Amino acid sequence: MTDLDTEVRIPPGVELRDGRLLDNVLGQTYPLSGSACAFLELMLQRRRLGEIATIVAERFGVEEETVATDLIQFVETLNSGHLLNVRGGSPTLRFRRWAGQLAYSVVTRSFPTRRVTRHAVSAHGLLPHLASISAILGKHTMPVWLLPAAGLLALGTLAKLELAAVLAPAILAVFLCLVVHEFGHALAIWREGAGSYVVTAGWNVAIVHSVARPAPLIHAGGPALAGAVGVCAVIVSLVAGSPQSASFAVPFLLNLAGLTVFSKDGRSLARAL
Amino acid sequence: MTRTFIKSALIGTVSFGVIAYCLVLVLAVLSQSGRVADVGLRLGPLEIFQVWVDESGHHFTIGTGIALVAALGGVVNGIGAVILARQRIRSMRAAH
Repeated sequence: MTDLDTEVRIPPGVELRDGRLLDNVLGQTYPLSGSACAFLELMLQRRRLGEIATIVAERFGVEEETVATDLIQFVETLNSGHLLNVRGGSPTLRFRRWAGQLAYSVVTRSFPTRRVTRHAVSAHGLLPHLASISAILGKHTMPVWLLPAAGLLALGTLAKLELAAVLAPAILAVFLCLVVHEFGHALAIWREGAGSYVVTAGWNVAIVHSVARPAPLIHAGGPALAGAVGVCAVIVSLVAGSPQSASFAVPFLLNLAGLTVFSKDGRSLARAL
Repeated sequence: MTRTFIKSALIGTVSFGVIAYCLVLVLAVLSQSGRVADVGLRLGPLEIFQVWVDESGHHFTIGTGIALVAALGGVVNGIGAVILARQRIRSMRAAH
């Protein structure tokens, strides 16, 4: 859901050149019409959608309302294709979006399509690559994951104080296993020598890559690495007799279910086999 | 299709086997620290798992049910992969 107050940005790795939109990471080219090119040129000047609609309507001699409708549709299409980042919007629109998504979830019992944000990852060496992925996850998804987890910890502590010492490592592990999971995918993509970027949408996160052929290792890399960390944590807990290490292992171990058809990664893996 | 089933069944068996086995180990460590005497799960005549702790440390038995969980997980994963493969073939045929 987008309105004319929304700010849009062309993400790093995407550029407008000779009337075409180039995705340099995935190596794809999208030819543009005259009005689409005008929209994107004005977006590069960091103008709001309302201003862009007014300018394009004057330039092409079309009604502003028609241009605004087309512009919003254009922005939403590019956003869903990871070619445009969208942020902001009026407070009324934010509330309407939140209420709409809540109603959608209740009625359809599924999650609605969320606004997607594309983040560039460093391609200068493996360590900077992994560091940039963890920075993105830390900034964009950690608060979303840690807030409900902290609420759960508070409830557990209220029920029994001793539970906090056992629950806290598991809650930390929920975020860490997200990072390790994405590291696993990133390592496999790195091994293939392919370009990639990170996409976040609310609490969802994904690594998008340019490997076109079926690559089972890329799909299996995330759950397998997280599962391996979980097994190591279980071994440590058995040797040291540490309940903290045991509870820390649980989210990592459950990540192994990501190798099966019950998860998105597992379904992609089954298709690639 | 048979190869897809075998590969996916193997992946499912290993994944669910490791998850179930390690979760029982986690339960053993947690019950030891919480001084819980006996924890177990039984379905009719089948013992899924049992963990018990005594004064000298923790002792646990892992029931045959863990193997059943792994085998069932493998079969379900294999069937799921075959269904996905069939759907893919059907959509490719429809596209042509």
